[in-house]
Amino acid sequence: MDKLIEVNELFFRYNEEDQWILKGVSLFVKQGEWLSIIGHNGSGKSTLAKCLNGLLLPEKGSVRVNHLDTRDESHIWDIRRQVGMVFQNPDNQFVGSTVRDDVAFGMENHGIPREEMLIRLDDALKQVQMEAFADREPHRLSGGQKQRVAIAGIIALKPSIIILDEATSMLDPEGRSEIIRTMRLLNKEHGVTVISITHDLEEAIYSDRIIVMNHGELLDQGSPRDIFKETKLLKDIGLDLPFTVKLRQELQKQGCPLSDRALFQEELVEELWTLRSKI
Amino acid sequence: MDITVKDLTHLYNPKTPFERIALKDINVQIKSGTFLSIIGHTGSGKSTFIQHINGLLKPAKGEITVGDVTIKAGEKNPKLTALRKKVGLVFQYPEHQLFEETVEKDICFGPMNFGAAEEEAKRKARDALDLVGLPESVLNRSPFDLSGGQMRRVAIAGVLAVEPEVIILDEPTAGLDPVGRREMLSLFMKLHKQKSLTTIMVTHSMDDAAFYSDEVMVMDKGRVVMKDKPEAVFSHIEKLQSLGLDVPETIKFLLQLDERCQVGIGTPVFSIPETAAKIMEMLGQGREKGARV
Ligand SMILES: Nc1ncnc2c1ncn2[C@@H]1O[C@H](COP(=O)(O)OP(=O)(O)O)[C@@H](O)[C@H]1O
Ligand SMILES: Nc1ncnc2c1ncn2[C@@H]1O[C@H](COP(=O)(O)OP(=O)(O)O)[C@@H](O)[C@H]1O
Ligand SMILES: [Mg+2]
Ligand SMILES: [Mg+2]
Repeated sequence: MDKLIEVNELFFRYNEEDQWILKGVSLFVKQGEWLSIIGHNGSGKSTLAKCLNGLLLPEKGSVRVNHLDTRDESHIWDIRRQVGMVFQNPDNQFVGSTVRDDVAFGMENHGIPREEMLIRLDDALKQVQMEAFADREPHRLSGGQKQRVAIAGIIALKPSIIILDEATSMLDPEGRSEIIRTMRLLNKEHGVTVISITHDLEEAIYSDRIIVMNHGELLDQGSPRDIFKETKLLKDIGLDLPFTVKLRQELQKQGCPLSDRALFQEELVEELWTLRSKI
Repeated sequence: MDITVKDLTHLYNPKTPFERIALKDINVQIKSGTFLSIIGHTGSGKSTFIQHINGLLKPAKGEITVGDVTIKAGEKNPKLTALRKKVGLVFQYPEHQLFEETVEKDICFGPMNFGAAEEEAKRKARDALDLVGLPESVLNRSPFDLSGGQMRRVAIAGVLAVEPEVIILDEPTAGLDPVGRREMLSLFMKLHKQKSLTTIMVTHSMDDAAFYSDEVMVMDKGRVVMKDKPEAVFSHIEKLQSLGLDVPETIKFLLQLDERCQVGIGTPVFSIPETAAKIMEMLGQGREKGARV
């Protein structure tokens, strides 16, 4: 198993007089996985994300990306290139006056030669299916299109990891599925590791692993099936449960003899079908 | 407060090369006390429509009547102030529109704008703050020091302080976490009942539209395609899907179950307990049929 990111006993606060925002967080991210981070507002998810690409540095403990320590200044540009971030608000991420300029901007900053740049630009726009929009002004695009341009800007730098920080929460349902579809493709076909900070549990159940943050601590981690078995733990910290889990529990409450297994709708449908045919 | 919209058409940039029909011949009646949700694709005209109800936009054709105020296309000097006092509009991301240096001043802006004296406005600000569930201690703080959810509540208090009879919410839960969403929606339900409001909510959540509303209105390309009780609207599954819209999670599940077990889905239900009860009934039916055969 290849650990792309290793976080060890990470402590962080924004000011020395303040309380710790991250309190001894340890975790790893595996090459090629889709990792979701859930937890309510203020639990430290965005702060953690910014520590992962060296935008913020640990006060105690360490963050290593591909074995490079984020506190080592000589590697910081490499780390930022390897760990791209897409933020919540699609309007705040543009610098270029056209989609093409915007995607090129990041590459210029990283000193990529012009010829190489042109190749990567076409390639990146194709991967997010925005090649037809290269000459458009970013601010005239829909929310989902804006986020895809932001993703193109990142993949042009050939990153190992893309972090989505609630990147779909301001989008309409169509924009949301555009982004998830694009990211699944990058994850499956191009081996990009994805870390998705999200409140959408119907998205999170499809991840390889989930991390639960609460008050700056890592409360739990595991496969979606394991995480959503701990329904009491999640309810206690005020988090919701996926639809299927809620429905399954309600059915059990009403006397239906179901197992505790179903996480996806199809699984619950299958169990109900089996029950019905036995009757 | 009854709302009647007749033959409403709206053009953006009229008589220019950029002219665009955003609403086309809309006829709608909304009875006083209704909780109406509006659903539809981005660009279908939802925001344009609701801005006519408080007079922010003027019709190119047709008329809008709210209570005893009527706004007609082409009319000079319409009674906009009267309309805006009755109809409070909470924009999408209303926290982006806070601007005063204290919460109190921000909330007082509306009432004072409609002629309230300072003392009266301050009293209304306190009441409104209480309605949205914020403590008085935030009155003297800068709105910009508050959390996102609190800022949104302040913005909503600013609209409530004017004591409108109709409240319009443009995607009020966008960008909130699940706890924030639930709190925000129960706040609007509480206000709707307590203040006997007419509430109009634009939303992308089919679950919320189905669960909270008396009526759901579906828009597509500037027209109203359906307006009916949630059970009726969400029975037209193929129609909704052809418009690129989703159906509530409960219906999605029942559809899958039906595909596997051919049990039919019957009258749509939108809460988890009701869905579970329906499934239990279907299982029970299976047993009865089995016994009879
Ligand atoms: N730039 C900042 N300066 C000071 N405090 C901050 C800053 N950004 C976030 N915080 C605080 O850190 C805590 C965690 O915030 P954040 O990482 O944004 O959580 P989440 O993304 O889970 O909502 C919150 O209490 C928040 O107020
Ligand atoms: N200020 C404006 N100028 C020109 N066209 C506009 C303006 N606002 C909205 N439109 C257009 O009017 C149509 C309806 O938009 P809108 O009412 O915002 O839809 P919705 O709220 O359903 O997303 C869209 O085609 C949109 O592009
Ligand atoms: Mg965050
Ligand atoms: Mg809108």
